[in-house]
Amino acid sequence: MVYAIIWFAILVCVYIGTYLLNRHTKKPDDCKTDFTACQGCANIACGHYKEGEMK
Amino acid sequence: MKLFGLFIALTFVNNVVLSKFYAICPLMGLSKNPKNALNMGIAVIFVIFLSSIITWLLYYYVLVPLKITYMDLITFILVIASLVQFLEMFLKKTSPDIYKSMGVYLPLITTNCAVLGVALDNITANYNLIEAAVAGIAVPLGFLIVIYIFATIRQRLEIADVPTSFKGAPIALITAGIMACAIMGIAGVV
Amino acid sequence: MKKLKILTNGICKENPIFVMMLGMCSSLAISTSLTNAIGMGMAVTAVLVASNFIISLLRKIIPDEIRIPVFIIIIATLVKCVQLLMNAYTPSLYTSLGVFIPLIVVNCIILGRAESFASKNKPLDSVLDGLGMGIGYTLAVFIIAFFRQIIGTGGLSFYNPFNSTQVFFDLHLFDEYAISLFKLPAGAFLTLGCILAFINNRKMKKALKVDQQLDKKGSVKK
Repeated sequence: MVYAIIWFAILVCVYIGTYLLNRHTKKPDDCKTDFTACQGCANIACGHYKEGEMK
Repeated sequence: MKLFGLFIALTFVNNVVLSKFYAICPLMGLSKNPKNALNMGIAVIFVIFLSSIITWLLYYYVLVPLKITYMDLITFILVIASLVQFLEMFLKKTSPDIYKSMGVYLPLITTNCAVLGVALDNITANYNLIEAAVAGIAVPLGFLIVIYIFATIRQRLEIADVPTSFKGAPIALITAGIMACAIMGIAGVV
Repeated sequence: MKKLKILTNGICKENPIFVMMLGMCSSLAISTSLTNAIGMGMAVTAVLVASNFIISLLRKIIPDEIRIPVFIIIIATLVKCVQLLMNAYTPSLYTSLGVFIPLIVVNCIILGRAESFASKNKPLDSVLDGLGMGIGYTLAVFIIAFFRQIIGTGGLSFYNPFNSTQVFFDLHLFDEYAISLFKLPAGAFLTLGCILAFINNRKMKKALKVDQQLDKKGSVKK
């Protein structure tokens, strides 16, 4: 039981760590994302959702 | 020889999209352009191969010895999500060209049923590490073939004469149904 | 009345499968029989209601930057709890649904509602929204399973998920004329395609009627 909680804490820290590191890394310059390819995609977890305001 | 049979079985016969229903959301949403479909497929191959090996190792070397196998779902999803974030960061820093072509699809792969599905199936089917690695290549290869063919067909469906109420998603689903019928023809080969 | 509107929103106007087309992975795979459909619908409703409630309670505490990871962690924990409960109390349903219970985690419906509704509204509204979406999902999968089972096996059957020996009804209508293609994956795609085409047809006719009425009003005014 204790191992489960420690393992859960490790996983959560690793995930949030990589997520924040990714957020703070800049995208390469002149990188225009083609949002027409993501039509009909309602996936909220996609990192480009807010930027492109995909329908 | 057994590995080759496993490879063929997972790519064609038990195709991940058409007979196991895993990666349907990207199939419907993202398959209008064959080039984008190809890029998405290659990104998916990377992610599933790496995640298949890493989740297998974590399950058998961390969860089973500590007797916390009930944490398998949480472990898998958090590992897959961290892996995708890490890959995206790695691509942004090392090769912007590859990021421009297929890095866009990486965040979409986190909630792709296929990645989690392959990781869970490896455990329920009791594969060893080599078989899990083969599954990690065969399954996304099958996905790539199906999504590429589907994208080329959909391109032609856009200009075909389809009844108005069938335009868009319904005719795409019926096309997928006919492709699934075709796959059924080779069931039982392996 | 606003509460009722939130509840019926998920059933008719923004039905997750028929209108928003989210969560199709699991809906096609488990709609082989009515019992599977209702069992899965119950599981998804439970996870939706619980996750909406918890996320709405915590919405002021979660930092904005790490919203999505925290949602995923909460949803994964809830799905694991539901999976263990189903393994204990409904074992036959658990074996027939198989790997699709853990795949509720990556079901776009739950994350989508958490992000677009639960993180911005009060707990009671979020629970009603979760309930509405869950009922909409169950209804949609029930309709698909109804057609697939009656054309695929020529009968309908429904047994109690909690006690698999208790059969509610088991009809056999036309065994010789059943098209067994509909039990297989190909049939699932065909069924959903035809149902979506039917709904599109209804929408087009309704839009046509509204256009005709507007034309009439416009010509009368002139």
